[in-house]
Amino acid sequence: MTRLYLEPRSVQAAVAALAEHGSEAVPVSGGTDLVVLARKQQAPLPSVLVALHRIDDLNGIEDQPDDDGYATAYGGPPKVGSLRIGAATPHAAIEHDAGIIERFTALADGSALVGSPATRHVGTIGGNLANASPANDTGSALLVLGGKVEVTDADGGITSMGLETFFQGPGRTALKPGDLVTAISLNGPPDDGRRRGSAYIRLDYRRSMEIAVVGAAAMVTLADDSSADGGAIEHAALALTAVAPTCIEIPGIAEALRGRDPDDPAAWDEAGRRAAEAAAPIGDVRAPAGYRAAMIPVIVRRAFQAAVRRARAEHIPAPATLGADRP
Amino acid sequence: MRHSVTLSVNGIDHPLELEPDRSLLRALRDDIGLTGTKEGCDDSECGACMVLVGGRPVNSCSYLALQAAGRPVTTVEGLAGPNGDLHPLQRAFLAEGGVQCGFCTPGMLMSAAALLEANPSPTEHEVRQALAGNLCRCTGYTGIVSAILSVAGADPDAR
Amino acid sequence: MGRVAAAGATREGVEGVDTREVGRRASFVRADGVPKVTGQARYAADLRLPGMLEARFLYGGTPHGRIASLDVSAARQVPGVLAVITQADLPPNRYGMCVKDRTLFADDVVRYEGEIVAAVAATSREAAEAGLAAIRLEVEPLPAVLDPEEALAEGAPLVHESWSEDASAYEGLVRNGNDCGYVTVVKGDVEAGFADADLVVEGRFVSDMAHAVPIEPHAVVADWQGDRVTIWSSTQVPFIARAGVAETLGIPEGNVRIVVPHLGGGFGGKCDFHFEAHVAALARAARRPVRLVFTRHEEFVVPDKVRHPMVMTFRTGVRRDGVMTASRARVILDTGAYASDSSMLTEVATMMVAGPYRTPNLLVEGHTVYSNKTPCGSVRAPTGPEGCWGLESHIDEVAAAVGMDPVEFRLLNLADEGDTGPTGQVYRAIGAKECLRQAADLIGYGDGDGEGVGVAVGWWFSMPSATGAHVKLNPDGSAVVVTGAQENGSGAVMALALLVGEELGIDPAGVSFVHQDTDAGPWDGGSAGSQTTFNVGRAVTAAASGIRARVLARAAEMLEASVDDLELVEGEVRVKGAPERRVTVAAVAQAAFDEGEQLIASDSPPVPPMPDNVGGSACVGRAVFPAFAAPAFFAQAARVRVDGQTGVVRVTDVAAAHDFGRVLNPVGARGQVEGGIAMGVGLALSEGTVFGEGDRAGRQSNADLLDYKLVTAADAPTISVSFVERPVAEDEGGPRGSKGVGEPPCVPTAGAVANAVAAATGVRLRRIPMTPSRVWAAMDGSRGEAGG
Repeated sequence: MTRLYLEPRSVQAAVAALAEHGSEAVPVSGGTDLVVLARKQQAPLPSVLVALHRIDDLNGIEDQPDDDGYATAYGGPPKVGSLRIGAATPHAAIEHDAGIIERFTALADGSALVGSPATRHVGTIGGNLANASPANDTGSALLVLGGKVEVTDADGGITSMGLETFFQGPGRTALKPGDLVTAISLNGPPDDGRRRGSAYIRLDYRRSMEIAVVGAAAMVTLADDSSADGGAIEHAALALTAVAPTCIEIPGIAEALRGRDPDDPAAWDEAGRRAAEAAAPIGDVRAPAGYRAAMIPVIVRRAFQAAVRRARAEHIPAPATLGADRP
Repeated sequence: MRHSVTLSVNGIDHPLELEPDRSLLRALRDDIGLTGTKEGCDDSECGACMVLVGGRPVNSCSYLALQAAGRPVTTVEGLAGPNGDLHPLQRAFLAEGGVQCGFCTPGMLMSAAALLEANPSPTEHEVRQALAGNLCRCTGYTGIVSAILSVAGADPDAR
Repeated sequence: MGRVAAAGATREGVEGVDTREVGRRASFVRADGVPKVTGQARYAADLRLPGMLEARFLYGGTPHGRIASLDVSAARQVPGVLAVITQADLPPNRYGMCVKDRTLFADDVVRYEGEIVAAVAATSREAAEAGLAAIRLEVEPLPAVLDPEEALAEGAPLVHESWSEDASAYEGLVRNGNDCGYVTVVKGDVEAGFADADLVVEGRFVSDMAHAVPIEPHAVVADWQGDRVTIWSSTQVPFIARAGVAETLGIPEGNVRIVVPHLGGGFGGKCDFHFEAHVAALARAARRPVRLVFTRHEEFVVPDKVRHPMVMTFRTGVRRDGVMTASRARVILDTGAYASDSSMLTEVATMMVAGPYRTPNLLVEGHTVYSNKTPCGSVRAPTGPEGCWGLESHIDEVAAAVGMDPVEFRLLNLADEGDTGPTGQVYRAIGAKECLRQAADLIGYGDGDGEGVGVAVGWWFSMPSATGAHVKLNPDGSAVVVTGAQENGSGAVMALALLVGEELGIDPAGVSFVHQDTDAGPWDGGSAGSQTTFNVGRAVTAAASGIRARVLARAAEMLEASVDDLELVEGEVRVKGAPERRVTVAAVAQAAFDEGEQLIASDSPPVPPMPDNVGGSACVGRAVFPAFAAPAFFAQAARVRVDGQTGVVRVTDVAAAHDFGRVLNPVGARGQVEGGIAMGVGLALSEGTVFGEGDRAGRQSNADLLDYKLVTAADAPTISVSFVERPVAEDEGGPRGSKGVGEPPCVPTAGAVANAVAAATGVRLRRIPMTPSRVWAAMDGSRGEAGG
């Protein structure tokens, strides 16, 4: 039974409150998952709720001066269009943000797929990541985009970590008691004129109100900005949702695809093979394990194809959709 | 421990003493007595509990009442005009066969109102996406969708 | 195509009635509409009485087990708990619509996970849950029966060990072991028919358990005043619920009043008798009013009205010219832990797998099988979508075997006027073939744009039943109908205003209702069997016509005209041909009132008989549905897109043509068709219960709305509708020759979608729902049939 509810107005006050109450306290942002789990009697509400919605600093997407402090998915500086997304920014703001749609499209795809319109208005990216669901729709996008989670600890110290470090297992993260996710940072791409595109494709059964059966986020950079089709693959990254205990980035993709023709199906088959090797899909109420495994290459191929088309400046609105739903 | 809070619902302030885990849905139904907002599931999957908080659609079943403090809440009871004139969406739902059992209707109306506020001229696709979090078992959605489109297509002065 | 049918358009002629209204929605605004769009409409869970307690149930939690110990003493000490009851606190009365096979609470044995073991009433929901947590229950596991075919096998464990001691609820029920209802259809000589065939085609089809899923969960409030109890319930059938309370609590029926506030949908899931008696017993024990509101999880697991898992096998003989000569079919309904109303539904299922075809030689067998799962029973057109899907999938395969187009094959074999039905009824004018032609036209069948299109045809019964109505014409010209009928949301009760308004010559908007209250209206079967318009429509028409005669007689005096020269329209009595000679209905009613005459009338018209020539002397177990009375015929066509790599199916369009006889309320009928199709698409693609494995065997794994997937607005198809009106004879059908409307629309959709998927992919799925993994698996035989 919850005995205490706090509404700090600053990050400092929030982490102080979390520190004071230790493991009894849980930050609540939109509350969409927290309250549902309590209602379903799967996880009682914590005894101390620290509500974050009055902390203005946590809500919003702002341009960041280029920051070379983080390794990025794109290679070296200079960079343009870096963004800092406050942890309490709702998915609805992310899916419609022009900068995210332009440069971090896979994240717009992921946020646009979460739940229903109401869930996206209330649910926030920080809460979404902190839940660490294996079926998380934004984690894979952030993995391929090189997004970092900014964590503020009880002393006000700020640490930044990649999602591969942040996600520790189903429902488990690297957060220690008293830690608060305060932002997601995304370094913009190098200012080199290269064509880049990203996409997150989710296999689901209905057109809305769904949870990922298999999800794949892909990012590609094409090598030849002078040719009409962008030329060969210079860089690529791939991450998967709902086929392992957490969202996972697939190793070796950049090396395997560098120099390959993006229109060569064999390239995406190679990525699909590597993805299948790295994944450990389970069978559950949503899909048999064999089906999930078989869908990995299919969804990987579609994610890359959408990413390449976007790199070639084709407009594919978020969320990018599957074959049967093409208009 | 109960917390003092004032919820502004349909333009009226309601001072309440609420436990932190009180959902907005229970506050509306049990503490304020507005039962137009319905409860149809345990997990934000049906949309019967949809209300507007700060003009945006919210599943009130999975929203903490205390978090609604300071944000205007609108329920189905607040849709009609002060003298009881039905909102154009309410009239259209009736005219187009968008109402059968009525249990999803309040939530549907709130999602529709939020949509038209943000996008006064939606396409059918946009209407269907906006309603995707509101389940209806009676109508097959046809009458509801055409009701919303009929309001969207109407002369703005008539709305 | 459908004449519309404004009920205002008969008797006095159709002048002034715009028959171009076909398909328009706006012709009738329902009386319960404004309360429903403003939030004023109260449903059972919205009610609150002073001192009211909240109820929660404790469940067995296991598919099969013996209660080793049950101790509620600690629960009674929990603060806020005012009552805890178990079967030990109640008379040992058994109930059940087909077999008296259960008690309100578990009696020694738990037969499914949602079996109610105890109930707690407390001052808050939280206190009630604390009470539940304090109950000590130990259940020793027994072998669970989970597969219906294994349940029929010799030596299978019995779900009801002493089944033969459970009384049958009606005569003619054939039972044996786990089979609680064996039924046959016998027509002609099936072996001779196979001897005439050039080809024999076989098929086996399996449907998963599915659910009604009204958006309003079950809710009940009970309040005792002396020895009488008033129960506000979300039931579809108040009078049947009243009888159930009386039977199980051992009190006179007259001491029980059931009132249904607005009902938030039912679709069969709220048929029969559910939790009214549990709550009444709690309220009596606590000496307080008590309210029960179900969670969505309970909604899936506990009630005994769930769509049956069905296993169907077909063997059909056909000549090379496409004429079917014989069909042998077997259908098994898995009824779960209790018979509920399933045994009589097996009678329906055997008719559904026989289908609306003229096949001269038939042998259909049906079994109703107990298992340790959530009990199954009536859900909108029970067994209809599943039976139609199985048969129509099979028919496409039979057509393919003789190289015929599916539509041509059906037109060759469908029944028509003068043909004989499976159990011997002779059809009058019916629209089966015309429905198919129109559905095919509407979808653009054969236009060959490369997309998957499929068709399915079917039939469904109307349900003649006793009912009655009181009608009052008030001195101000308004009218009140007092009926026992139940409005489930379809508008069937609200639209009775059209019939009454026409009969009395008044605006339907001036007709109000007192309904769904067992102390007010005459007995009625409730919202079940698509029967409301069919039966109550006749009753209100008959009652209103009695008042009409008196209005005309008095107006004739007032206008100094002959009754034969009068017409009753637009709130006035007019002399035909001399419209200036007129008097308002209100003035007539006021004049009557001034002389002490109240214009009130009641009627309970005769129940239409079952069809003649129901031979079927060789049929077994046909106690409730010897034939299909005033059957509706229909066809639907679906267009799908199949993602060949993932197996995801989207239904883009459905065209529906329905012969409902005369359509009285086109707005309402269209709403039923559209809603039925959305439900049918769900059954085809996504709605199926997944059961757990290992120690979760026999327990539902997707008892929530995330993983039990209803069709959303974003997924619902574009729907086109036409009505093929073949009115029934006045004494055999509903008012003006109408047939039942509510259930048929959901029947053929899954079959049409399945045939469209087969057309699109070239493979045939043998199980519904056709989930992506199943479609994907079927597209590559090496992956195994079901794909899990």
